Amino acid sequence: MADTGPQVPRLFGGPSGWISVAVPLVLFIWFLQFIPAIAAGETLRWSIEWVPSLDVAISFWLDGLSLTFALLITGIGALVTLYSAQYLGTQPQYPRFILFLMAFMIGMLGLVLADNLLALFVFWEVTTISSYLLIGYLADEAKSRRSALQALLVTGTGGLAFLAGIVLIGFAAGSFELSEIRDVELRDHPWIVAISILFLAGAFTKSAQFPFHFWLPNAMAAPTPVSAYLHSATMVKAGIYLMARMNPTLGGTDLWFWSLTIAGGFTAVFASILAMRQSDIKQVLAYTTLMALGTLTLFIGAGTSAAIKGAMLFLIVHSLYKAALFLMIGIVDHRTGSREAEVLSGLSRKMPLTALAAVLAALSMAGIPPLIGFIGKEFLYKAALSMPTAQLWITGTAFAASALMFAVGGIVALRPFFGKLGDTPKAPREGPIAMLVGPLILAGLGLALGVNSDWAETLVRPATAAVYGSPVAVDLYLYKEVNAALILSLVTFATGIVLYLGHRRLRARLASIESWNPIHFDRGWDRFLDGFAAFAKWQAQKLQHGVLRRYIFVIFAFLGVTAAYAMWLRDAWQVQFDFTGVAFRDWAVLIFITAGAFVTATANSRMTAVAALGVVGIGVALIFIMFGAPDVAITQLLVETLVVVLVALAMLKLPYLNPKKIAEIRGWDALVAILVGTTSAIVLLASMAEPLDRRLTDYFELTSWPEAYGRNVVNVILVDFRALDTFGEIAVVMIAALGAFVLLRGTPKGEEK
Amino acid sequence: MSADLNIILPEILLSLFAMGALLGAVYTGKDKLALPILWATAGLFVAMAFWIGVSGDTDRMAFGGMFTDDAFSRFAKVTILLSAAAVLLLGQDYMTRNDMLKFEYPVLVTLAVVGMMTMVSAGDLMVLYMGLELQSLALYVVASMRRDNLRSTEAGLKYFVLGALSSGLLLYGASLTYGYAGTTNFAGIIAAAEGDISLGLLFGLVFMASGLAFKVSAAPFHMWTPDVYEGSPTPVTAFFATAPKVAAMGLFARVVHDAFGGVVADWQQIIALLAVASMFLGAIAAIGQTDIKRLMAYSSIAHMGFALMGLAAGTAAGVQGMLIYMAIYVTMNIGTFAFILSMRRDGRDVTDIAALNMLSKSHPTHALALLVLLFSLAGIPPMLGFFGKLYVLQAAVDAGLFWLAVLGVVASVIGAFYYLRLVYFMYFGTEGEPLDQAMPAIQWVAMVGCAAIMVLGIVNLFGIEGLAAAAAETLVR
Amino acid sequence: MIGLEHYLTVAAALFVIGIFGIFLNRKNVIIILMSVELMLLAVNINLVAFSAFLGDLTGQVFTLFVLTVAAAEAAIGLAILVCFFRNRGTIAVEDVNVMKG
Repeated sequence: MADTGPQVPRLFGGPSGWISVAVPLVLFIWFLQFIPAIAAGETLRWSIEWVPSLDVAISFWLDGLSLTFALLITGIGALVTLYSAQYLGTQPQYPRFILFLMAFMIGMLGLVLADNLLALFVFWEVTTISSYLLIGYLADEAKSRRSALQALLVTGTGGLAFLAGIVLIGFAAGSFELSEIRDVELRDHPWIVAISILFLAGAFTKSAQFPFHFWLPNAMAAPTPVSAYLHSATMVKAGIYLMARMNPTLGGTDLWFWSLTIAGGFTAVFASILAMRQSDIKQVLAYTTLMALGTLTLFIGAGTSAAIKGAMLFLIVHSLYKAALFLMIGIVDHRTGSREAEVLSGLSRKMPLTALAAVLAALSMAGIPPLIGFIGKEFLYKAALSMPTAQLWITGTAFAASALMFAVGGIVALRPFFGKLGDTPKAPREGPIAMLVGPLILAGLGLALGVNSDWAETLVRPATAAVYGSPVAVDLYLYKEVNAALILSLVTFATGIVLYLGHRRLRARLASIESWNPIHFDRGWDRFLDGFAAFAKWQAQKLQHGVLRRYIFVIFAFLGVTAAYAMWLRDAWQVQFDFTGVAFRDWAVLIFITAGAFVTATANSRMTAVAALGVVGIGVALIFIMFGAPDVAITQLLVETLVVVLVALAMLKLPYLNPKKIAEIRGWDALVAILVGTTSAIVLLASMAEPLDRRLTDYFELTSWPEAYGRNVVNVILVDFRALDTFGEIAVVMIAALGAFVLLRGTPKGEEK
Repeated sequence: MSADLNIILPEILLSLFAMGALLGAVYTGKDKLALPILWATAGLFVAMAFWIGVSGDTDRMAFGGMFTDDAFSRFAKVTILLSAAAVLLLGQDYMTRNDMLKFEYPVLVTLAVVGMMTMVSAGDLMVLYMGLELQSLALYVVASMRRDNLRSTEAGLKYFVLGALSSGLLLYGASLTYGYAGTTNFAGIIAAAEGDISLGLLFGLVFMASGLAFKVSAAPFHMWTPDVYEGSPTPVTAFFATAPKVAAMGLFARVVHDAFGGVVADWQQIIALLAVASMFLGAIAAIGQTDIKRLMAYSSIAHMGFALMGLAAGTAAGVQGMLIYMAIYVTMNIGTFAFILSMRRDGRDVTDIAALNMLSKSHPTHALALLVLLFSLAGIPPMLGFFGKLYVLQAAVDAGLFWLAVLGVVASVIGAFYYLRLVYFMYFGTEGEPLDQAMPAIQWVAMVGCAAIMVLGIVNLFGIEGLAAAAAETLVR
Repeated sequence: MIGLEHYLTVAAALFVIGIFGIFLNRKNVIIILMSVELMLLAVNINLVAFSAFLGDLTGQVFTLFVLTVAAAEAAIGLAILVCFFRNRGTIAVEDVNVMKG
């Protein structure tokens, strides 16, 4: 690959410069060879296993849609890198810039070629991150950093939603392969709404559709080649790619149709009006990019074969003219030091080649024959007029956007280049050849494809088939007959001319509207972020308040509710309880224990509490004796004594109870205590209504005789058990001793607080 | 009898070692032996892990079914032993620096590990309780190891009070289960618990699940976690985040499948509820954190939610997913804590997130490794963490718990934010005073190694998938 | 003859009083520890009662365990409490709140 290098002059950024040009160029040529096969309707596929058990593979495929994108990415990529070598080649950070740009290109190529959605997502994130790095290229400027971060956050968030959608669709369709998903009928799946919303969240943020549009104009803080490449020709189209790609699977539902047409149409009109508002030509172009993305969304959403055909053609058209215009304004900025429409004027005499590129590209943008832009607009109009539903909305928005676009074409290509020579910061002169190659080729292609519309057909046909889901006849032409679409075009031109002539007044009017408009998406986003962070902090403070007793409160509240719910499910609230036949002795023990327990729990003096606990312990030991378990009773007594001694010992080191600390009982605590208490009591009583399960006791009595070596089952169990028992007990006691030692062993003086 | 002893030989050997080490240290002047004991403990753990991993592919029972040695317990034990060994070694430098390396520490960890091994092998309510307490008592003490530090002792106190309470709940549930099933043996309980189980048994299950939920720090029983993570000495926090979580999840799986495997529908909803609460709470509460240890606490709560999702599926695939998830989780945590343990500025330990600012400039390798780990924790492909999530989600979907899977996906998206925020600080934050350069070799190796696993592991997960499948197979019949 | 349910009721009462004790007192962590102790006693009554009515000794063995472990637990709990007191100067329940968020 590198052997094509030496032809490129060394001054273009050195080795990194020529490699950066050679790579996309070679790839472009490599992709060209697939055109015949793809045009013939073939789909090529490569695959490597990734995580076989989850049926995940790294796989790529090439069909009409991905090939179109791949050619745009590599072709425009080669021209942009050539341009950058001249534009930025002398800067010290240039190699780093090229590194990011190459990373982006690989990510973008991977994105459009990936068959596996997970792989697609990885590439998607690569483009997000490299785009961040490229926008923040001039990282010293605070504005640049902020824009970069905003773009990252918006597209990153959308990306996460997209990932969620991928996981869901993977489960719904049983595969992560796009080529397999498209064969699965998902439109009636219960998750289709969630999946569609999540995918659209990814696509809308990436392609800057309303209401996520605000990051794109801000992202224009990036160097011009980046704007030309990422923010008009490729990256922002990743969202468009995704919508186009998913159209055969997710398209056709009402949700899909309406969200795309409404968001797309609104974005298109809204953005082209805002484009009229701007005077910085780069900003104007940024908003027209939004308009184009909106139009593409609108027509993909419309979903008819004609609409898809129009969208695919417009996709190519837009990439060509918009990249040319961005590169053009970069040259102008480079040579004159200004991008202001009010400052630039009459440059055609000093910069004829730049002017030529600008005019050709603008003609395509305005949709004037015989350029390909005209055909693109015609086919969009035709599709809009033939819509079965929402015809008025689609036609209306497409018309409004096109008319405004016409006027913008004038602002971008007529004002700066014709008329009297304006007074610019730098004396204008023609741009260097390496920078002119790109805009000229791209703008020239607009003319060439317009005249030879068959060339475009070879790509548009397979792309349309891929997006529509089945082959569609594509026949592109400049003129056939006078029809509604043509008449609409003429009306568009007339409206556009009027708008262009009045554009200054319009801009002033828009500026005054803007000054009292309270809605700022940009600031709203900042506020949203602040609010989210504040909410997170607030709820963490509320839920995790640090007070031990409230932690206990939560545990019991949950337990009480769960238990009550289970009771309710079982309908077990009715309990009968029979106190007959309880001897005096039993009552005495019961009262003894309960009273002791109550005193323990509520005592004000610690000595009282300890004594009362001892009372309970002795009462329990009595119960054990009543059950004929004297050994357990003795242990109980011993342990109880031990505990009392331990507590008394500890008390030597602990403070007295402070009566002032005895506070009132709070309502909630009482409520939970009562809820948990009542529930657990009733649970017990209710469960007693059912007999104990004795089957196992019987089972063991019967079956373990021959297996065990003793006659008494219980003894066998016990003997076997003792080994583990003693083992465990020793370990526990050891830990207790060791633990107490660790914590209490002599603290050196001075260490104590 | 001797056959029985053979089965619990690893546990016996570890206990003997602990006692020997204790005696040895006490007779030779206490803390001088601390470092050798620590290394010996770690070495022993690794040796045991290999021994358990290599030996035996048969399922054996000891003491009349009280103690089970099967593929499931072996998988869990190897994970526990290896992670405990790693965490011990990672913390050694920190402990020495802060003059905390006392001989009790490795001994207590050893005993806690014995408890954990007992837990995952439990075949009986009594063994379950013994194992759990053996572990918990040791953990209470290590949490408050820094006894002259208010935060450390408060962490210990909170952990103890809540832990004792949850043990009480668990025990109460165990007593009900015993009464209504007529036995404490899991094999017996599963025979009794089928069809429409009695109310007593149901409440036994509910109470036991609550106690276990506390141990895995599932919401709403999670509240001790952030405080204990923050307050405990960092090596101890790293320990809390790894081995005990595996043990508790293993025990949870044992109880619900071995003892209550016949009534999946009765516990499925509870566990699913715990899973959802944990995932969302962990994801949202972590966003506002400024202390990285607290952040890791919320992170572990969210991760436990995902692991519980696998359990909630109630199928072998779910248990398999849970085991894989836990193995990945432990690896990610070891790597991340290796870094946290090395965070120092001017010779003082810091845990403030702001210290990560522009780490990429001062420590490019560390930043890159941490980036990989954080991406993996966030569950972003192509890192291993994503596939862990995919496994449990797949299991939930296959089990028909669609709502759970959808909520899990949403929670993971929210949860990804705070990890990415850390990445943002590292790469695009404001310049601040950089962290110290030095990082002990062990920590460096652990961090970079774990990061490498997150990337390379995606090829075939190092084969743990098959082991986890076999383990799940023995548990879910 | 006094029935199983009566014993279980006593156990339930103890358990509930234990819970009440944890909630209603806000004075001292020691009382909370004792309340936990009450809960364990309730468990023991349950176990022994079940054991007697099932005619199965396992419950009693279990009780022995619980007793031993409870003692060990109390020892450790008190040790931790003493340490905490040394640092904080109080053991009021409401004051165990240094870490939060």
